[in-house]
Amino acid sequence: MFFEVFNANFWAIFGGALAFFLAAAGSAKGVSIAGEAASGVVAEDTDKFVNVMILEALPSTQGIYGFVIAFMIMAAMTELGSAITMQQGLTLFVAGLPIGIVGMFSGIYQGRVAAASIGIVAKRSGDMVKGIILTLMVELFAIFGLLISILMVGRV
Amino acid sequence: MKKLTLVGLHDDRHRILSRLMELGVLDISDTEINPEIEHLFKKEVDSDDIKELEGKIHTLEGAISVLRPFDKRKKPLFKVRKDMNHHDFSAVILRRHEVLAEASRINRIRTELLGIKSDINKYNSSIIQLNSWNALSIPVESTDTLRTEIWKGMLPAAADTEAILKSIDEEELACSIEITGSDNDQTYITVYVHNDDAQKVSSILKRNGFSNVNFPGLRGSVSENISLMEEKIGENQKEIAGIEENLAELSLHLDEIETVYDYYSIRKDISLMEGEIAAGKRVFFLEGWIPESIEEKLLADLSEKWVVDINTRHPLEDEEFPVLLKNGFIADSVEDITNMYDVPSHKAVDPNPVMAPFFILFFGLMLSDAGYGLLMAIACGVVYFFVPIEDTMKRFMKMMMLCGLATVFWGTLFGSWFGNLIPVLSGNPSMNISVWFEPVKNPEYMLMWALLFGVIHLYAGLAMKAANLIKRKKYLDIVWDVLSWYVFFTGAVFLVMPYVPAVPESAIQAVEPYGIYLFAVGAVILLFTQGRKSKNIFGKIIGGLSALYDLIGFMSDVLSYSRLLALGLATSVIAGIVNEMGSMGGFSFTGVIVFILVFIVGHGINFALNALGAYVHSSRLQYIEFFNKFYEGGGKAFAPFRRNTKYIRIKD
Repeated sequence: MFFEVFNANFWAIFGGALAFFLAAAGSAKGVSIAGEAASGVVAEDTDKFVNVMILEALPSTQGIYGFVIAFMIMAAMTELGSAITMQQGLTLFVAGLPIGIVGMFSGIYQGRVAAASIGIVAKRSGDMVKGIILTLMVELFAIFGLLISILMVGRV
Repeated sequence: MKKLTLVGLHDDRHRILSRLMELGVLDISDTEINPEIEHLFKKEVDSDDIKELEGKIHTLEGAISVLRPFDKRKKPLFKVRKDMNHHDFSAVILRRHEVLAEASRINRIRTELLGIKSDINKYNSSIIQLNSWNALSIPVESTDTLRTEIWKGMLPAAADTEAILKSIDEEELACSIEITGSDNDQTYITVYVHNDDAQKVSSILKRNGFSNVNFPGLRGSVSENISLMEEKIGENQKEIAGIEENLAELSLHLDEIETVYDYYSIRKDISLMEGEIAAGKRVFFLEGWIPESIEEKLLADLSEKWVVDINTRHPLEDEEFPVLLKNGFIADSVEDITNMYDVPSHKAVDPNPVMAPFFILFFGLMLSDAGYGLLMAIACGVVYFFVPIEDTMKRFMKMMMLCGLATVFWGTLFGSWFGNLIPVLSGNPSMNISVWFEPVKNPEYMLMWALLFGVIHLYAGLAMKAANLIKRKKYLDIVWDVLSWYVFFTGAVFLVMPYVPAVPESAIQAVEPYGIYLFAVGAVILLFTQGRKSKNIFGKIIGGLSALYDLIGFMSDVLSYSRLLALGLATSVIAGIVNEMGSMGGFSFTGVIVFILVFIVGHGINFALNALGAYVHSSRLQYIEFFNKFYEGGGKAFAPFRRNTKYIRIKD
C-alpha cells in the first residue's frame, strides 16, 4: 500500500520539488538580505542604483539552478514513462538534493556577502567589481551543486 | 613613455598650461623641486582665485539644476557631451558675465519660489487648524468682554469632557463651555467665564490637560479666514505658474549656461595645476610624462609660440611611469575590464590582447544561445556604429557586440536558437540542428570540453608569466617558474583524465603512460627550485614543498571552469521551458497571442539574467584564475592634463 502511493513517480517529483524549493527559498532569502542593504544605499545616493542592483541580483542564480534541475528531473521522467522503476525514482529524488540543499545555504550566505559588498559600493562605487568577485566566490559551490545534480540526473 | 621637463616664462604660464590642456597629451606629474633651488622656486596655490571660480561654478550649477526640469531639448538614449567648435565656444565665452548674471538671477528666482511654496504650506496647515474650529460662533480674535474672559483651547480626547462640565456646574461657577468640535486626539472647546470665577475654572481645566489656543494675526470669523487663505493660496499658485513659465523660457539658455559652466571648470583646473608646478620669480618649470610618438609635435607646437626650454629623457631603471595601453580593435574593448581589476604595471606585459579572446569566447559559451547573441550583437552594433556616445560607452558596446557574435558562434555549434524554438515550431521537438553537439543531451561531454578550455586558459596565463620574465630578461626563471609547471600540470592532467567523464578511451590510452613521468619530473624540478629565493635551508625545503601543494590550487582552478557548462545549460534549459510554456496554447488565435507574450517576457528575463551572469562569471575567470598566474598590477594609468568637461566637447 505504502509503495503504491509513494511510488517511483512520487519520489522523482519529490526530488524535483526539493531541488527547486530549497534552492529558490535560499535565493529569495539571499536576495532579500542584499536587497535591504541595497535600498539603504539607494536612499542615500540614487546614482548607485545600477551598481547595487547587480550585486543584489547575484544570489538569485541558485533559484535558477534549482529550476533547471527540477525541469531536468521532469524531463527524465517523461523519457522513462511508465517503465520507471522504483530505483530510478529514488535515484532521481537523490539527484535533486545537491542543488537543493547547497543552493539553499549558498543562496543565503551569498546574500550576506552581497550585502557586505553593497557596503563597499556605498563607500566607493569604483570598487564594485571587487565586491562582485567576493560574492561570486560563494556562487562556485552552487555551481558545483548544479553540476553534480545534472550529472546524476544524466546517469538515470 | 618619456619624462619631459619644461621651463618657460612666468608670464606665459597660464597660456602654456591652457595650450597643454587643449592638446591633452602630457601627464603632468607632481613636480619635484631640488633642495638646491628650493629658495628660488616654490609651489603656490592662488586659493582666492580658486575660491572665486568655485563660487561661479556653484552659481551656474544651481541655475542648471533649477532649469533642468524645464529642459525641452531632445534627450539622447546615452548621455553624450555636445560637440562645439572653437568659434561658437568663444562667442559664448565672450558673454560669460551676462550668463553668470542670468544664473544668479535664476538662483534668486529659486529662492523666491521656495519662499512662495513655504507660504502655501503655512496657509495649508493654518487651514487644517482652523477647520477644527469651524463651529466657533465668535470672531477668532475676541478674548474677553467687560466682565468675562473667553478662552479657546483643547482638551485631550482621553479626558472625560462630560465629567469636567459637570464638576464645574456643581461648584456653581459662572461659566459656560461650548464644544466646538472634536477629532481623534482632541476636543475643541470655547470657555466663557465671569472674571470672578476665572481662577477656579482655569485650575479645573488645567488639571484636565486644557491647553489654550490663540490665532495670532487673524481677525473675523473662522470661515472668513479660511476663504481668505484659500484665496491667497490661489494667488500664490498663479504666481508659481508665472515663474515656472518664465523658467521654461529661461531654460532655452541652458546650452549657454552649461558651456560657461564648463569654461569655468576648465579655468579652475588650470588654476589648480598652477599650484602643482614650480614657480619662480621670472620662470616656472614643470615635469610630466609624454608618449614618445607625440613628443616631437608637442615640442614644435610650444616652441613656435613661446620661449620655452623642453628636455625629454627615457625613464630611469627603476622609475615608475604611467601606463598607456595601446591595443587593436578587439583587445582594446576589454581594457576597462582589466582596469577595473587593476591597471597593469609598467614593468609587465599588457595582458589585454591575450585576455580578450578568452573573455569574449567564455562569455559566448556561458550565454550560448545564438538567438540572444544575434539580438545583442545587432543592438550593440547599431549603437556602436551609428549612435554618438562617449568613449568608455563605445568600448563597452564594442565588447558587447563581440560577445554577442561569440554567442552566435557557440549557439550555432550547440544548435540553440532561442532555446529549442526551431524544433518546437516545426513540431518535432527532438530535431537536432546543432553543428557540433547538444550540451543538454550530453552534459558530460560538454563538461570535458569546459575543463579543457580551462586548462588552455590557465596555460595561457603561465605563458603570460613567461612573457613578463622575458621582458625582464630573466630567461632562466622561465625554465624554473613556467616550463616546470607546464610539465608538472600536464602530468597531473594526464593522470586524472580517466576520472573525467566522457574522455575518449583512445585519448586516455595514448597519454596516460606518460603522465606519471611528466608528473614526477615536474615535481622534482619544482621541489628543488621553488624554494631557491629563500636564504636558509628550511625556507628552501618549505618553498619546494608548498609549491607541490599548488597542484590542489590548479585542480580547483580547472574545476572552476565547469561553470562554462553550468551557465550555458541553464540558459538553454530555461529557454526550452519558455518555449514549451508558450506553445501550450496550440496553434490558434489565442494560442499565438499567448505564445508571443510568453516568448517576449520569458526570453527577455532569461536573456537579462544570463547575460549578467555570463558577464560577471567571465570577468571572474579572468580575475581569479587567469590573472592569478602572472598578473602584476599596481600601475598608474596615463592620465594626461586635459579638458575635463561635463557638458561640451570643444572641437578643433
